[in-house]
Amino acid sequence: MSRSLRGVALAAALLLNAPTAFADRDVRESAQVHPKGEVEVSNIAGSVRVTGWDRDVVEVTGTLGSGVEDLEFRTEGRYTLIKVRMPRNGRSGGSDLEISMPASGRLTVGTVSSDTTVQGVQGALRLQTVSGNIETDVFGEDAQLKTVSGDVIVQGTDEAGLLTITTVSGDVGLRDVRGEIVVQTVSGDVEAESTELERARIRTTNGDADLRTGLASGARFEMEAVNGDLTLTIKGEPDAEFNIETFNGDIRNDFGPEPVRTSRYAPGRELRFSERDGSARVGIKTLNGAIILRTD
Amino acid sequence: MAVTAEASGAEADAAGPVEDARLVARARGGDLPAFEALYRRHAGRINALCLRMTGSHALAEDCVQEAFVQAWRHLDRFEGRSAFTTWLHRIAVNRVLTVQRSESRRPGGFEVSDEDNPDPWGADPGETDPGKDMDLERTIASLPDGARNVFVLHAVCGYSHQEAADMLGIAVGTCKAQLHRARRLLSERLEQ
Amino acid sequence: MNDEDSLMQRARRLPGEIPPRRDLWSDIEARLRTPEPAASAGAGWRWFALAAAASVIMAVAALTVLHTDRQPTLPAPAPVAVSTDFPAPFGPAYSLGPQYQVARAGLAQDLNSRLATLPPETRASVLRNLEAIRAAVAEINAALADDPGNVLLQQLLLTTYQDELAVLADVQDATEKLPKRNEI
Repeated sequence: MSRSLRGVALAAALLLNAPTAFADRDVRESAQVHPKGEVEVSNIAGSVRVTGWDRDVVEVTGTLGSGVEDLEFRTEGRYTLIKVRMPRNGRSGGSDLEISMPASGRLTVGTVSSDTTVQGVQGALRLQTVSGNIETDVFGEDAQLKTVSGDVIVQGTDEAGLLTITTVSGDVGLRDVRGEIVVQTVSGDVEAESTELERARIRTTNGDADLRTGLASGARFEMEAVNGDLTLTIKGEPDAEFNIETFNGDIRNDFGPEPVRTSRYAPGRELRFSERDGSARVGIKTLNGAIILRTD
Repeated sequence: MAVTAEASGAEADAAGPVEDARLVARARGGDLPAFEALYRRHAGRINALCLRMTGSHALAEDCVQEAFVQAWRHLDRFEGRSAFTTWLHRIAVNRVLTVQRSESRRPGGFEVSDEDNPDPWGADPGETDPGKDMDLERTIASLPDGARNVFVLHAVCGYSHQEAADMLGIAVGTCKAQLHRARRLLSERLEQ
Repeated sequence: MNDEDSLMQRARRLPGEIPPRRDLWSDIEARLRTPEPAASAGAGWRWFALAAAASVIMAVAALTVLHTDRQPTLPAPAPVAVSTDFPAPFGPAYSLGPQYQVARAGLAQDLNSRLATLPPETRASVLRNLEAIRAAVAEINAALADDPGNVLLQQLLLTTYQDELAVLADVQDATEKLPKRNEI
């Protein structure tokens, strides 16, 4: 309980479940859990920081915002729930939660405006927010990240996994991810740099996308934009079949032949060619956006 | 004497479906002469269709051959619910679409004609039959694939939008839009 | 229009039969006598297969819904007038099929009330982005009207519709956590 309100605490002790109007409260909870269990975190505003560690324990410390009813903390079998509970009426301030969990566990986080930061959790991740930002590292498991307007920042560890990211207007930044990425945004900008990817599917309506990566053998890349500009910089010597089309935009390429008009009757430019064995397939399409194809 | 696409359809229909059905039944049993008779009855129409859709004698002849070969192979699939001619047209159109897809990246449409590939609608010194509307044929040939396909099936052969859309594997709405476009382009180009 | 009517008349008067330059029967017969492997049944030309649309709907629809109590955090927002009148689909939408239409109708139905529960900045952002998608669809449709066979345009239209569906699903997902207006 808040130290500054000790005088009221005694009386309040008789009313344990009454909604409190105290200033922020500290919390601390912990429990033994299965190392590969699932942890679910739910918060509204404030922040959530989750760190993986090598103990079979989930521990929460933090500060609950004023007006927050309490923190629900419960473990059932392999599932642990950490949820900031709000009262039916009234406002509340944000809650800041620091959570440690087994590194091999799976994590689900849902917030409204709270930022989410995750580090060292190697199991599957499902991180979702409306307007908070998400920052996480990813390993070889699946990670699914969704925001409406929050930004997403991912630090990979060069382990191949499946990374699925959806934002409406949030920007996306990816580093050192491997395996497969699927990114969809309406107006956010996407920037990704990797050593190598096997599959990449990037779709944006108005945002720009800039992908700088090597192509795995037999890789499949698709980038599509309506109005955004798309840039693909290939590390190393490309070994791929390229299928590049735009309706109204420009195509600028460092290698390969010149783009040609698709037809004499309609606008549109295309660039279709193969380098080396054409093992990978790269498709890039826009309506109005520019397309830039380079090697590094 | 030129028989119009529609009229030849009507004329064929008078004796057509019944005789076709008889021949089909025999051909199904392996009767090759019966199938040859079907070829003789329908080759001209199929060739006209393919020629107008591909713009090339060589490609059209390939499609005609292929259509009859496929028809023979799949006679067991012809259930007699539609006219044999319609069924045969569908097979031919499928083949034309395949050909168009593989030819599709040639810019400039069908202006390329040479000794091996004479322009089917080119002025032929001996050809003075006023019944043939070479201008229109040539202008149809200059249309982009999608518009031309729809115009040939709907406007020339008389298939409905739904039928043409089915044969081409497109939506009815697209079919109508393509027709609209074909008519606009044809009007513009014929005026010159 | 007389111009076009006479065009159609001319078209109908074109010869119905044009014999091949040579008799093809002997070639055909030769092929019929040689057994060939059966041609595989082509799936047809519909590149924008229903399967593609359906799999996106499944992926988008199988979003995690976090079960939480409904919790108000903000004052009741002003009513939002959002037009759920999306532009009439053109062309490939016919082939997107009933499954797509149902999913979309379902998601669009609640849109207004769900948007109303979002924080104002976010709501404004979502509206702006839906408007951006709408504008993109309109632009692609306009281009398609002139060039209906254009495969690139059809592909872009399809993916833009998929994107719209994803946004609708995201809004639904995000607003599961927030109270509906009539509960405040």
